[in-house]
Amino acid sequence: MIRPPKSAEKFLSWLIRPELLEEVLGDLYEYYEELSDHSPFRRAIYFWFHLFTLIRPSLLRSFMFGERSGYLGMIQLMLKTGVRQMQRKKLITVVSLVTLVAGVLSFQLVFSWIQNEKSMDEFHAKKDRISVGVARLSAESNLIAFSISGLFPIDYSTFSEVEKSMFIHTYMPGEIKFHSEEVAHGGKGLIVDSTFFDFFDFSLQSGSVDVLADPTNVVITESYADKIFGDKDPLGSVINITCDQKGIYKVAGIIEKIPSNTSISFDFLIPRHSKNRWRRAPQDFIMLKEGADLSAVNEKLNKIAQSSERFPNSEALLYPFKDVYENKPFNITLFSKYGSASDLRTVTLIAWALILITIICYTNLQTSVQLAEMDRVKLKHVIGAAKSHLVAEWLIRGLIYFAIASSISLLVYYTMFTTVIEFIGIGLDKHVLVDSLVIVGAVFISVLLSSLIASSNVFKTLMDLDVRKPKKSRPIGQPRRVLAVLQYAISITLLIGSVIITLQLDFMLDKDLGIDQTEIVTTQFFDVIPDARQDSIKRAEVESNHRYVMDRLGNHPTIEAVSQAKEPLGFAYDLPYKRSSSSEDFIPIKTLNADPDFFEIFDLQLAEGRPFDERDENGDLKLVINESAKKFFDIQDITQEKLISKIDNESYQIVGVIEDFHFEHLSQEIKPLIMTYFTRLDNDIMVK
Amino acid sequence: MSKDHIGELEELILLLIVMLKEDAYGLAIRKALKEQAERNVTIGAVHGTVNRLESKGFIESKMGGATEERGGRRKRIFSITASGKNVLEKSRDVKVNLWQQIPELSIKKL
Repeated sequence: MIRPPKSAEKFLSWLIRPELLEEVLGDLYEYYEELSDHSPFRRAIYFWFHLFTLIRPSLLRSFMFGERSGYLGMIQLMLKTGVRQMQRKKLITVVSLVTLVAGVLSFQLVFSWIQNEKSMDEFHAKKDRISVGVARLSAESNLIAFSISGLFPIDYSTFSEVEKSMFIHTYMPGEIKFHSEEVAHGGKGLIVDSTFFDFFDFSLQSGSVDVLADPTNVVITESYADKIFGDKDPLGSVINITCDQKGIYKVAGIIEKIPSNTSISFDFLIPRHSKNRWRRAPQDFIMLKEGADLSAVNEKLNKIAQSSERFPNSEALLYPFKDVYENKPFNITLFSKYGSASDLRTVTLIAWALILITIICYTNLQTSVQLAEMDRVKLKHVIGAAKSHLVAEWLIRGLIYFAIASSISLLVYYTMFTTVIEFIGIGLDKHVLVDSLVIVGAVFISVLLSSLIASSNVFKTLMDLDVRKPKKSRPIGQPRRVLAVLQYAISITLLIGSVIITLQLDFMLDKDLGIDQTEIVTTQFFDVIPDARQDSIKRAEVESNHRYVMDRLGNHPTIEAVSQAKEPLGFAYDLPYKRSSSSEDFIPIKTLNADPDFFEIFDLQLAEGRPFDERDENGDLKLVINESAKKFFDIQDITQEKLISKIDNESYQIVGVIEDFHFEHLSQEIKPLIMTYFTRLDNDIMVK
Repeated sequence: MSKDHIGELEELILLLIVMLKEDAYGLAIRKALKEQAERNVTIGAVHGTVNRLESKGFIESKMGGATEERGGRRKRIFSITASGKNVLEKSRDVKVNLWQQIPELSIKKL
């Protein structure tokens, strides 16, 4: 039998008269049992609804509604008056509560996201000592994250400041398969050194922190275990891993749900020393000793890098891990997401705007009620009610709104949190104490400000009544008219403000580029294709299959275009180029890989020349550039100019210019873009 | 409001307590209200009303047996008192008297 939440019992025990508690709780339990054929959500809603209907004066404990004397009796009367006034104006009451609840919950959701961003990777205790090895191969190139100890003769063990080093190879879904009971599953796998858990504080549900020391072990995340093994206990299960390596492993550790405030994500961890070689390039992670000077280490690394014959102008350094998320100094697949300081600022602004709108809206509604009741208040004062009592009446009414709105907000928040987060599509964790405090605090501030304004209005009005000196006569009803106009003006302003905020949020959350992406389907068709040197027969077989698939797709009557280029968002990378006729230095330019159908798939418009077509081959020294790039390089005639890439020092022919389009987030200005004809056989296939 | 007068919900609940006899407890009264009078009221409304009726002296209560579906908690079984019967009869008489004063034809004409 599923019991109602314990919190309900505690709540009622605190609130209901003790002699009634047994029968009331019994009825509620019985009612909860009757609802067993409803969904858990509906069951909870009905249960809590009936529970709240028990909050009525005749059932509440005596400490709240005791003898009607002294302050308690007065507060009781004020509460009753407040409840009756709220019942009398049901519409205003409901709209006020909806305003408070919706406003505060929206604020809390946005606030929760901000907190998540600000606490990114904070849970790793040694985050301040962890760094990522990066390098700049020339003065003008961007930072590249890779194994700098592989490129330069760097031995971290000789550095007195370094406590530990670690290598991580990242295999994205599609590059590695996790086989359990002969079923292949995708997933993001990290090949890590056994010191992984010394660096990062991902909590282990099962297994010890030295689990990766055994080369036959594999560690999986809780969510991945649920996905692969369902209700079965995964510990001890024997699984196969296939990528450019093959291996049999035993599940020996399970990581608790990975928190939402992590920039590193993965589904499983494999000990690096279980194989001699992994083809995906590794990434260096260094942990400095307590109090060690990072700049001193970077100085030494730089000297080593600059003594390199191949890259004399290079710079090698350790980049602080804690700064990677916010600054995005490089883009590597190990990090599943990056933040943006400007987005954070905008969203913070939105959060404050939301709470401000809530306060104004709620105050506006309460002011309209107050105007309607002001004559009654004056009358009460004339027949003897003290000013302080009449002012307190409004504060008590605020208290009632606070209690109801807080309860509803908490109930809605905890019931709907998971659904809303899944619907919005962002990763956020619940933090019961903090979230509850923020919700209750936000309702309290909104109600308090409004109640203070209302009380001060009452006080001023009553002061006017008391003043004996002659007053300037003013037309009756004028203040009401002014206030009514003000209320309408504020309402319209708020309406427009809400629309703008909604659009802004949509804009920030939606990573659409504004280019035509209708009817485009992307699918992964081929697993990692082996190198011809490793397995020439397999390679030839895959190439033959690839030709067959592309041929069939290309000739299908319902398919307009087939491409193996990457979709534009987030895949442009910097490569140094310069004009062949120029003596200027190389400049990093955003570069995308494309193929002939890429232009048709995204309906990119040609401004000049031609796109890639059957005359070109994968890997040709040809380019298509955008209008911004043409302007940037000051190219008058594309047939008369070539661009040189610093990477291979080759001259590339410009075959066409396309109209500018957004290949980064819409908030970014369109930058110069170069497209090269280069795709891999195992890239995802895009079909239009 | 006078102690001798009862509201419509109070009257219905009094009648149902008489009808339900040894099974007249909060949730059963709520169910009966729905089935017999098509009145869908909350658990809070039922408890509020029976509490009021008890304080007015129209009903009395004793604790009944505990069941598993109630989490081992006992029911409070209500029964009508003599003054409860009086107030019900008075209410019925007032209504009957009023009905008798209205010619049947004038109702049909409405």
